[in-house]
Amino acid sequence: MDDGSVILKTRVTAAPVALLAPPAPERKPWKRQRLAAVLSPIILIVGWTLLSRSGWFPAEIVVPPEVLWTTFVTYWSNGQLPDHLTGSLGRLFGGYLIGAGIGIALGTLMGVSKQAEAYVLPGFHILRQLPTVALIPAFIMIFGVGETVKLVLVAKATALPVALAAFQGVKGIPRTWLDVARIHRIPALTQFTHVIVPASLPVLVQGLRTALARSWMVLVAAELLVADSGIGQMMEWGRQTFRLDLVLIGVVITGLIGFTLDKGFRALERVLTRGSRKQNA
Amino acid sequence: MPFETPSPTAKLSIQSLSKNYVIDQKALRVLLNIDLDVHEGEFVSIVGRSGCGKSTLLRLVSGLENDYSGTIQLDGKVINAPSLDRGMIFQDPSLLPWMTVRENVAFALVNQNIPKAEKDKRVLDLIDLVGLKGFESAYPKELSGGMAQRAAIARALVSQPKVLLLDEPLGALDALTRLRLQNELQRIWLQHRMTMIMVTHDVEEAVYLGDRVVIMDPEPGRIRRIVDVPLAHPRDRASPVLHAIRDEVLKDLTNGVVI
Repeated sequence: MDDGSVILKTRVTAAPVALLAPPAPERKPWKRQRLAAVLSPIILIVGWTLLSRSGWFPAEIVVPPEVLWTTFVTYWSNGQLPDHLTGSLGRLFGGYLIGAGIGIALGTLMGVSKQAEAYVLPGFHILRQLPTVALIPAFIMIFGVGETVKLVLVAKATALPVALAAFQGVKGIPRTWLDVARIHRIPALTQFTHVIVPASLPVLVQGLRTALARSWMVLVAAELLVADSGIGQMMEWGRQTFRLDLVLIGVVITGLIGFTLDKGFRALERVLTRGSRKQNA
Repeated sequence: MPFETPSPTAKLSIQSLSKNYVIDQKALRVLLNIDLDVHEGEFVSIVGRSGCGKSTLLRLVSGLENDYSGTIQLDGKVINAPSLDRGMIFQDPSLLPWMTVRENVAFALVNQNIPKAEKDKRVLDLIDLVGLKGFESAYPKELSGGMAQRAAIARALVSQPKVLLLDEPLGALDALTRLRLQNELQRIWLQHRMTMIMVTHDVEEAVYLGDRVVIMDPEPGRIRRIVDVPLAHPRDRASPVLHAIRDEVLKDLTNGVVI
């Protein structure tokens, strides 16, 4: 027992305590930050209300907030809004799961096999430069205007960033970690489950989060063009019937869902990568 | 004695070993005509300037790389893949950060066909042997550099290899920790008398621990000279013989090189 193990012992026991209870002085700025975060939406709403009251613009253009609220309640209680929501979220998660599955499989394959990397990666880099929305016309011609085209678009928007993240995650594993596994003749499957997966997980999960946000935007854009239900379609219908209140509700909901998805995923990310983060903490 | 089974030792034989890397379609000679016999239970140090292929030599002996010409044999058997009779320690402890010390050491036994109780005992014995008792449940980030390298030593030894390959194992540690771990390595080696081959940049360390010191030349990597260190272990750092040998090795290494 030497090289300072006594000192380290205290450090080991002290670490969890320090994590649980941040020092008191740090709390105040944190509270102020929270306040600042709530302040900007409040200012926006108040400004909007004042503008609508001013009479400078017709109520169809600057819709008073209370009208927005009534429209929201009406559409929520008559079941139209929930239908649009379930339609959109169903497509999002369906396409996302397919895309994430394909992305993880392809990315990991590229990471572990030089040959797969050589064949698949160049194509990925070309596809990456192409915005998914630019594919909408082509996909409509190929897949029609049904549900398939939306699922395919979301899956495509998901698969690319996920595959690249999985690939980078595997490529970033220190060589000696794999050497250690080989030296001890760890079977390939155990190497995969016990080294490659946990080592690449933090990067992969980050990619999964970015992909979810991106897919949501792509989906709403696609629904503007091709859909008979969904948040995007609701906004498009509002535009055609000159119902700006409906359009604005769609905008707000789209933003809120994107925000919620990202926050929810961050929470999941913290849980999933708790073990792996121990290395850099 | 925490480690009851006597470790088997082995004779390693390297004959006219050469190795090329192909970079941009040009062959780069990394090792040229290496001849080296390492006896049972011997401690051999390898020193040389950067690019002399000493790490590559260890990787070839470990079986991590197998594309070479010449022969490498352990107890008469040709080496061309990793095997549990050869353990290895890297400069980076390379512990898996999501596993505790105990899990990291036990990971080396995944492919060993021995009962779980026996595995558990061996793991704890080794953690004890390297002086990490009480840190079984610590994660790598909670360990100092020296402690992490101790855990790596435990992991390399737990599968009871005949030969232990050390690739600059103490190179990243501070001077004091390094001295302590040198003594630890010597103690473990004396206890088990397994064959150890250590690559190092530190001439003092090479001479202090090695029965023989192999001096290599770069481009292409080849053996310049082998120096005997005819002193019994454990050694006295202050020994004038040791210092004389160190100076000689240093002189030889820097011969014709402007520092």
